[in-house]
Amino acid sequence: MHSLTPAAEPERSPWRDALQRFRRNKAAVTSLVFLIFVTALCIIGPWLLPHAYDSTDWDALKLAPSLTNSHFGGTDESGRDLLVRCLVGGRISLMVGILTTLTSIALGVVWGATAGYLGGAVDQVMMRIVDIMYAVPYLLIAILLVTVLGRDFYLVVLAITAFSWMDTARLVRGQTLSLRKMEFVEAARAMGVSTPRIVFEHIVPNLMGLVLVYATVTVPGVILTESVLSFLGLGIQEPMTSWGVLIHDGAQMLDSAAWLLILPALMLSLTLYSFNYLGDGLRDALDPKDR
Amino acid sequence: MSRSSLLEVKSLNVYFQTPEGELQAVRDLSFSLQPGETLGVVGESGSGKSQTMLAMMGLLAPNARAEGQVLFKGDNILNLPAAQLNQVRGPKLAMIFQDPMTSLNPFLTVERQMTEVLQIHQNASRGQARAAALQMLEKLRIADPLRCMNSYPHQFSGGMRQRIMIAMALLSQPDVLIADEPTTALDVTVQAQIVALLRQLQQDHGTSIIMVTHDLGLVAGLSDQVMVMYGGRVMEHARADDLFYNTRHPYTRALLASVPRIEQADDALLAIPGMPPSLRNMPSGCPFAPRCAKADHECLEPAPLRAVSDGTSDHGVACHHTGNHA
Repeated sequence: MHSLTPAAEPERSPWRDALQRFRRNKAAVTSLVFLIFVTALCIIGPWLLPHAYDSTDWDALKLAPSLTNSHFGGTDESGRDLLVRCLVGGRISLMVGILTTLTSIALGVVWGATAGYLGGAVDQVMMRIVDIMYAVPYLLIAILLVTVLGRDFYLVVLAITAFSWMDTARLVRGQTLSLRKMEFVEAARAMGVSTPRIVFEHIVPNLMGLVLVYATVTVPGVILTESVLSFLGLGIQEPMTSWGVLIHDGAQMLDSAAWLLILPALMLSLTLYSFNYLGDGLRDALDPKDR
Repeated sequence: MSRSSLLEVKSLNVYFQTPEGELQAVRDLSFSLQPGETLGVVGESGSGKSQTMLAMMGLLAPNARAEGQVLFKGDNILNLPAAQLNQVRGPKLAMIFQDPMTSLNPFLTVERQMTEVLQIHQNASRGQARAAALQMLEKLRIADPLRCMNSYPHQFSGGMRQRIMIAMALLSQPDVLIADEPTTALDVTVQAQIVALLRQLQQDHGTSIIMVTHDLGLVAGLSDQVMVMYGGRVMEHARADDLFYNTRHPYTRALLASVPRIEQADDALLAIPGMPPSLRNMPSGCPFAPRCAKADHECLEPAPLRAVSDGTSDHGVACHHTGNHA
């Protein structure tokens, strides 16, 4: 009987295996470290810097970045400190990005797993609703939402969520279709496990790898969408700011004050790159074929 | 079989809706099972044995439909609504599957999967369920059950996983255990261990077992009654001794003759000529007739399952030629 016992490697979950592979991927680890650094900087930075994001310094309008005065990142045309604004804007952009991704992924997983597992008419109806959502022009709806309900941070999250969950739903449905035919699902049914429990306790854990990867590539998309909404005056409003707003404003000053574009654009693009590399690394780490 | 049966199947039919029309996978199947009894179901691939078991568990594919009655303690399982069906399968009627490599969820620990049944059906607390699971693993002689509970399925060999599946199925002390080819995916030495385990557990708990297999040897050692299926029909159904020593159906005889024996010469392996019929073109008469040495014009008519007298017990045979031996 003892010959049948497993080798001495206790509690090696599929997640732990993935973590080990992830650690070997230098680009992904660097990206993760960078993202943690940027997030921490955005959270703590504004308290440490001597200027408020909305206070005007009349003696330093459109000041170029320099280490000799207190405006390290320069100032904009109304004399507001650019570095503080970039960090405060980063808070908003990251929060919109992460919050919206969480809600849209959650909705997509529930929707897709339910449709995929139940199949038949329920699946048909649920996926046609997804098709309809794809066809709806989201900017129009976003404008309507903001006009009716007014401008609000959470409204931006809601508006972007409403039009970004469908990809996840389709992806998850496809995976669920193949998972529900697996024997362990049949075994769970044979144990008298109820349908909701099978979907959320047996199928969803098997989807988490895929969903995690997808989430990391959704974040950049959401941050960009927020920039678009803000650009159209539907998102974050002055004096509050976000990376999207800063880039938009900076682009108009390109000739006279290029730093107004370069600093926020650099922060945004590095963050987006990092999320993409992180997603790549996670995908490789979680790919069972790699085992 | 007039005693009150634990499980009684009456004229079960299973149909599949396909683009080519309706196909029948199981025809007019009946049997009954007493507490503590073992039924062996034998047949080639595609004989309808697995579909019969799935029908009994309410696990048929969406395009399949079952007719007839599956009475478990008097309730017809086929008509139960989902919530009530879930009260029966698992705690009362458990099933273990053919391939232990795919029957466990790769992302959940053994503990989570084992304790689930107790937590759902018996409202056991996490601690109680855990203790019961540990005890069951010990009973199945799994070394270091504590570590086993915290492990994930991919850390185990096939034989270990099948034991875990059996432990899981037995945790809620079911009345009937359906084992659908439980040893097919395992190697021979492990097979013997699993069979010994099932036999011992049956003695300890008085569980009834339905053993589905294509291995006659397995059935011979374990079963009280044996049912031989072919083309979705029951060909022969008898007490195990009668079936093996007083074989009536030409198909059963052919099956027995094709079991390899160690004293046989190398080239003497007997095979039944031809292939099992596909559901799409099932012969209208006896399904075995095209491959049967004894077939004649009578066999173009379906042969009903008739009782033949062995003097001792029930022995059903679906053949027109049961009278002429040899």
